[in-house]
Amino acid sequence: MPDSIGPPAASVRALELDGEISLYDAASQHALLLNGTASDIWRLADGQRNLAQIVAMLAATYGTAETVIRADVERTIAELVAAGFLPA
Amino acid sequence: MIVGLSLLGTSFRLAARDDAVLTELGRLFGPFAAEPTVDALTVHVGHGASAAEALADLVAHLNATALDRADCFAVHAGVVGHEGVAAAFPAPSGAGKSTLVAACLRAGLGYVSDEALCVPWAGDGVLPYPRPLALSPWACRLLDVALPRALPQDPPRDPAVGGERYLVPADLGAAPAAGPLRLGHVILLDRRPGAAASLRPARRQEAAGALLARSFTHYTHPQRAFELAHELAGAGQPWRLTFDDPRPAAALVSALLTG
Repeated sequence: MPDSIGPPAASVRALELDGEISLYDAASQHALLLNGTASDIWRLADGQRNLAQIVAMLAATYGTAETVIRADVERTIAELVAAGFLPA
Repeated sequence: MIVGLSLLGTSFRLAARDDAVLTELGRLFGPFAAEPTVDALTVHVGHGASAAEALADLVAHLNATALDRADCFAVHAGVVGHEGVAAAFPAPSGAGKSTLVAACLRAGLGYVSDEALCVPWAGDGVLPYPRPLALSPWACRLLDVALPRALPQDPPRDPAVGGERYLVPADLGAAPAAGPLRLGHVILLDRRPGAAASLRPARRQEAAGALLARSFTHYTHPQRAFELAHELAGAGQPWRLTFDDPRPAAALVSALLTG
């Protein structure tokens, strides 16, 4: 799929506690703890969806307009890419 | 005179010309007494401005060396126990860990450590690290702890001044936690001036993050440290302890462990 987000590299380990995901990348030895919203974005970043689809799914889940959350989703994905947890 | 110690798997041979210092070290580190191994680290106790300073320097050196070399998941935390269950307070220096641990001992709990939560990499249980408790003069006064004159050549101590005092659980009327221990509670400390003591559930992921952030040894096995922090935080209900006075806070911890 063009512009698909993800999937994470095989070196990334994800653990979940009460709906919040924590990531560890064995390649960089970096860890990152995600809040609930970022965890929802992470689950959808599986290489099968693009940004528009992820935004649409989250907007439906949260009962809000896509325009309201799009910037936050973009920023979160950019941060995950910059930290090396998602491919560029 | 030579004193042999084994701290978290590191063997030390302590030597000093001042037998009084070694005698006090032997008292403070009694649970760690062991014949030095062939690869023991030899430490010559120096002479600072006073015997008390030499003792403080040595305790700090032994602690730092033992934790740096520990082959376990070691986290900067106070730890107390009761009937096989431990509660740990991961926190940085100055957060009140030692005073809270001492208050918990006064409340009847068993001593595990005022410095480190140590868990084998396999995750099975808690390794006691009952180093001498380091209490400020303020904490000693608050908890009504008599200040021992540790060394014969020490001048009489003014409880209002000076550095940390080193104590063993018996000095607080307490004992080491007995038997095998498992970590039952991770308690995040939230010390605020004037706050009434309260204990509320905390997020498990926040507890895992605190264990990782305060770890001394995560860099030796980073992925396992990540996994173990989450296993430990996820095994029970973490708590946030808001407090100012450590005595009512200790009563809450005691109720959690004994209730």
